[in-house]
Amino acid sequence: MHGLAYDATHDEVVVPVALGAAVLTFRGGATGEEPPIRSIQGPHTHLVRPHTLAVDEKNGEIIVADTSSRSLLVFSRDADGDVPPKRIIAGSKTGLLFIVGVAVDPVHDRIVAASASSVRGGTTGLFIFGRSDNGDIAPLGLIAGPRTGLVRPWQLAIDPAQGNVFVAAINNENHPPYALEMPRRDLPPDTDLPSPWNTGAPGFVGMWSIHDNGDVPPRGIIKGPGSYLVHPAGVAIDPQAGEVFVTDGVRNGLFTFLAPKLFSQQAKPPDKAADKMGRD
Amino acid sequence: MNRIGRLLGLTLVLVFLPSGFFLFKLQPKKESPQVISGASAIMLATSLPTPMMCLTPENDDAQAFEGSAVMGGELPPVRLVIDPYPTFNGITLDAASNRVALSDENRKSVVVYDRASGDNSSKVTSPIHQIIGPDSQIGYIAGVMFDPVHHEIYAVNNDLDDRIVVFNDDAQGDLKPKRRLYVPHQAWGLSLNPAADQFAISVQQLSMVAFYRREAQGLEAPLRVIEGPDTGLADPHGILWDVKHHELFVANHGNSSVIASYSAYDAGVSSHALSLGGHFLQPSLTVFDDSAQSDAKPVRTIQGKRTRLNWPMGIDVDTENEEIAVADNGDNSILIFRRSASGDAEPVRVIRGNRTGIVSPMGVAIDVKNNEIWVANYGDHTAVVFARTANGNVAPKRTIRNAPQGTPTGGFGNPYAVAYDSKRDQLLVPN
Repeated sequence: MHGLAYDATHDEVVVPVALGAAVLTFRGGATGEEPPIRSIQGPHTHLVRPHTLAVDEKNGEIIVADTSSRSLLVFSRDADGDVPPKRIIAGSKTGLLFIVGVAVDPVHDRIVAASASSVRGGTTGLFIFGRSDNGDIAPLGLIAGPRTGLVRPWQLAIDPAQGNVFVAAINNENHPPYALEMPRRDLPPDTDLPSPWNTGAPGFVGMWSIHDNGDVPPRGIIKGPGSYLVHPAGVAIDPQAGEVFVTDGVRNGLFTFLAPKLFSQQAKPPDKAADKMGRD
Repeated sequence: MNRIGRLLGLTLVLVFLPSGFFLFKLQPKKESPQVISGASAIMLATSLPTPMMCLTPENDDAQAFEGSAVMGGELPPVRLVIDPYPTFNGITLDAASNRVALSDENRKSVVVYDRASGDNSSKVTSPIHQIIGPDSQIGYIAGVMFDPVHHEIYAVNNDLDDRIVVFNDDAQGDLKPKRRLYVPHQAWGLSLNPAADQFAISVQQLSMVAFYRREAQGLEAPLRVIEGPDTGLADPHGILWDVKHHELFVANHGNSSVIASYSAYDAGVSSHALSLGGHFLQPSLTVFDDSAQSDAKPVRTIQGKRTRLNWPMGIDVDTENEEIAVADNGDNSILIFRRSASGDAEPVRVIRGNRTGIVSPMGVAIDVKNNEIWVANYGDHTAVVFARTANGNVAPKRTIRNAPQGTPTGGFGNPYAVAYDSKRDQLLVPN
C-alpha cells in the first residue's frame, strides 16, 4: 500500500489495494485480521490500480488516485460493492499521468493531485482542480517548474484551515525498464538505468498555498542534513500540535517535526496568483 | 515503552499489525527542536546502509528557493522511528558449502552466515560476510538464491529498483554486481534450474512468472511467461522450481486484477485492460508443469480453509521426503504439505506457537542433508532452525540473531505513506 487516509469525523481508516483494484474502509480502532466494514471493488468501479486516496469528511467523499487509468475517481464515502464513481477527472486536458498523491481541501473546494511524468511534453507537479470537477478538464492551477524544486512529488496533506498544501517531495529518479511483461523498446540494450537509491535531487517536505500557481518556490520547507530526510515519501500533519510526520524510503523510517510556524500562516491569494489562476 | 522509545529517550508505543499497517502512539506531544545527538544520532547513522547511500543535501542547495521568504529549513526531527538492524526476508541454503544467506530489506543487504552458526543465547550472531552499499544496487530486496554450481548468489529487488543483481558467492562489502538484469516491477522470488540453465521469477503486480536464461543481463527479455486468468496466479511471492519432478510451485496472496500499463514513460493507457475489476481470491499454492507458458492452467492447486494458507511467502520443496514447506506470514507459522497435495488439503505438520520464535516469517529453507528446516523472521531480528520433522509449538534448535535479543523490528518495508489518527493520537504507516 502506498496510501491511506484517516477519517476523523467517522473514525474510519480508508486504504487502497493496488493489486486487488479495491478501496477498503476499516473502523478506526481496527486491529489484526479484522475485516473491512466496506469494500469498493468490481468492474463498475473503474478501479485498476488505486495508488493513494483522500477522504473529504465535509462532503462525504473518497477521492482515489489511480496510476493505471491516470484518473481521479470520486466515490461516496459510504460506497460499498461494485459501484461506479460519482465523478472522474481524467483525460489529456487534465495533464495527469502517474498520480501518486492526492489531497482535498473542502474549505477552498479544491482537489490537489501530485502527478509525475517522464513523457516528453508531460508535466511533473501539483495539479489543482475544483472539488466538484468532472471529466476531461484542465486544472485550475499547476505548481511545477525548476523553482518549485519538485523532481518527483509523492504523498500530499492539506491544512484546510490555513489553505496550505504539504508535499513529500521524494525527488528520487525512477526509470521503469519494463512496459508490462516486456522490456521497453525505446531503451538501448546496454542501457544503464540509475538505481533509485543513488540518484536524483535530495528530497524535502514543501508547503505551498492552495492559491499558488506556476513555477513558484514553496512557502515552507523541511530539508537538509539536520532533518535527516533523504527521499521523503509520506507526509501527514497535526495542525493543532504543529507537527509534521514524514516517512522516508532510504531511512526506512518515520520522523516527526515540530514546526508550528507552518500552521500559523494563512494562505492568502496574492493578487497576481489570483489573477492567473483559473481556466482559459 | 519499547526499546526504540528507550533508546531515544522518548515515549513511544509501537503496535505491530502483521497484515497491514503499523500504529505508533506518540507522546508527549511537544518537545523543543534540538539537534539530534547521543543515542539518536548513533541510531540514525547506523540506520543507513552506508554513508554513501545517504544522499544528504548540501547546506547550500537551496538555490531553487532563492529569493523567497521560505519558512522552516533544516529542522531536526523531534521524534523518529528507525530500525538500525537488518530485517530478514528471503533465505537460501547451500548445504555443500555450509552457508546460509538471508536478504535484509531494512538495511538493504545480503547477509551470509555459516550454516552451523547460531545458538540459544541472546548474543548477536556474526555473519561470514555481507553485501551492502549503493554500488551493490540492493534496495528493497526480497528473494535471494545461491547457485552452488557457478558459485554465485542472486538478489531480487522487489520495489523501486526493478532489477536482479548477481554476485560471486563470496562477495563482500559495497561492490558492483557481476551481472544485472532488469525485470518487471515488483519481482519477488527467484528459483534456479541448473539443468535447464534458466531461472524463474515471480512478479507481484502482473501476477506472472517469467523465465530467463541463467546468464541473462541488461534488458534481455524473458524466454517465456506464465500469465493470464487461467493460471490462478494472484499476487505471487514464493517460487520454487522442482527440477526432479519438472514442476514449478508458486505461492499466491490472492490479490487479483488486470494491471494496465502505468509507467510515466507510456504516453497512453491500455484501455482494453481497464475496468475489468479486481478480486480477492483465497491464498494458494499453484503448481505448473515447468514447460508451461502463457495462460496455462496449473496442474494442481492447494487452496481452501483447511490449508491454513494466509499470506504465503517463501516456499521450499523437499524432493527426497516429498514435502513442501511454506512460510505462512499471516499465521506466524510454517506449513508442511505433501508435495503432491491438491485442493483443500490440510498441512501434514504445522510449526506454530509462542515457543517457536516464528514471527511474521518470510522465508523458509529445507536442509535435507542436515535434516533441518530454517525460517527467516521479518517480525523479529532472527532466523530460527528446527529439526526437519518439527511439529507444533516447539522451540528452535538454535537461533541466528542480527540484533540483541528483544530488539523490536521497525516493521517498515518501503514506507511510502503516513496518516495521523487524531482521535487516538496515533500514526498509521502502511507497507
